[in-house]
Amino acid sequence: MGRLVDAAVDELVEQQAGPLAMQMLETSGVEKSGVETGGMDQPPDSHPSDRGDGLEEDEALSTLQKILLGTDRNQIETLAADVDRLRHRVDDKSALAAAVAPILGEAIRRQIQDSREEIIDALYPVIGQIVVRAVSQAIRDLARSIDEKLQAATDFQRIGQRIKGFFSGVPDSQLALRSALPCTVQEVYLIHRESGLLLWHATRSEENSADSELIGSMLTAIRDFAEQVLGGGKDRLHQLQFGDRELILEFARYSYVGVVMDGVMPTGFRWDLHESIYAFEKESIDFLRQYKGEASTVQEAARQRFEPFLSLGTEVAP
Amino acid sequence: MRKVSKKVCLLGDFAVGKTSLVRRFVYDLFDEKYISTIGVKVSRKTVAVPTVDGAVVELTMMLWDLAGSEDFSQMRGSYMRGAAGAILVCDLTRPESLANLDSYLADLRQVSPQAMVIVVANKSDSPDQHLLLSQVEAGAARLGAKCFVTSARTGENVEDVFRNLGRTLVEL
Repeated sequence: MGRLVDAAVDELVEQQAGPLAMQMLETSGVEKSGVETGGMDQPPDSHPSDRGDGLEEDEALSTLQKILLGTDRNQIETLAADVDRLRHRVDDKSALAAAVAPILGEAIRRQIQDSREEIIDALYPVIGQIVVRAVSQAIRDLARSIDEKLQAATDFQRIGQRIKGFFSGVPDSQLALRSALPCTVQEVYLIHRESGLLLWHATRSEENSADSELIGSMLTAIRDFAEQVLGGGKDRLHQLQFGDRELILEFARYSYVGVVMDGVMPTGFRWDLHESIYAFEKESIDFLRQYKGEASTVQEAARQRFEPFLSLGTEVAP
Repeated sequence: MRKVSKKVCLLGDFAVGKTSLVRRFVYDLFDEKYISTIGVKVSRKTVAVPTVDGAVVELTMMLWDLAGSEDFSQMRGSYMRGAAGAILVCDLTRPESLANLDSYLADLRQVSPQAMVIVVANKSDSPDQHLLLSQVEAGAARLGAKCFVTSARTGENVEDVFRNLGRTLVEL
């Protein structure tokens, strides 16, 4: 058996690997035996040499495999690793999405540029439905709000509204509609007029509230900038609008109040704010006139005057 | 603990280091890039200041970093209103920046006559200085103010300037 293997190895080596393989076999210590060196003289039942021959053949075969197939094996292992990585990426949905997203975005952008009309035609029915649905929902919410107000109003309030409508020329139904429009006050800032230092602040949501002291100062800087650039005198900056959000400003002699609100300002809101700031000033005039940066003494007065504004209006539908 | 807020303005020519001083004090950062301040930039820092009677006051300094460029000179006056203190900044590599502090102080006195003032000579790390310490001290004395030599780049004396001013403001 050993002799047959030897013969097979030799033939294979000579045919496939050539002189280089032969040299490597020799340097690796594998002896050629059997056919060439007269191995037929060895007794067939000699166990140590048989075992020795078997091991040597295995080593020779293994070495031969390495020589012939080494490069291919390395490539296969590399490919297998790549396939594993790709399989992982495909299995992990979030990783796959992250990998594809940049390409997808660019592809969509190009497609929109190249086929604008087709894209519009395809999206129009979908967008139209979304808009219709949103408007319907808003109208339903408005109708519900009006109904609640009408149900909650006492007879006297209803009569008062009708009288107001009669003298102002605005129909009762429109007045009801006007008072039902959604509005939410998010923040109230009370600021020392000259220095821009914050006197008091209240917010509907602590987590969304930015640095109120910085806002007080920046608001004062914006007011000063507007007065310088746009002219027309002092205290002319009454509101700032940013999307659906408004910042309403009302000035008194030594202080001013800023209210951040979403939605439509209710009727009479600005007048109530004006009255509140003037009432506050009247109560705290000495303090405000000589204000030196310590606002602790006016906290309670400010809270009583301005905290109720946070609960005014109706909720804006999400 | 008593809580006090004060408005402090930084005044001086363009590129003397006003914004860098604020950045160093508030964020302990310095940036080599120069970006001109447009209008005003407001920052805030709260420090604990000991008073002469041994108490500690929580002082919030609202730092109004005013643009030094001539383009914004008209608006500077309104930004200085209500300031309790001011830091007049000059550049040790530019002698004219010290002389120009007079006009900034004059503008400040028109709208905030009671404001406490400190003179700061910045860029002490620069090898290209053209102002002597004696000149800076003389200039500050003329303005009736203390003076400090600082480097916003290294942080030298920056904290001292603001804390010194803070102690003065709290005693007002």
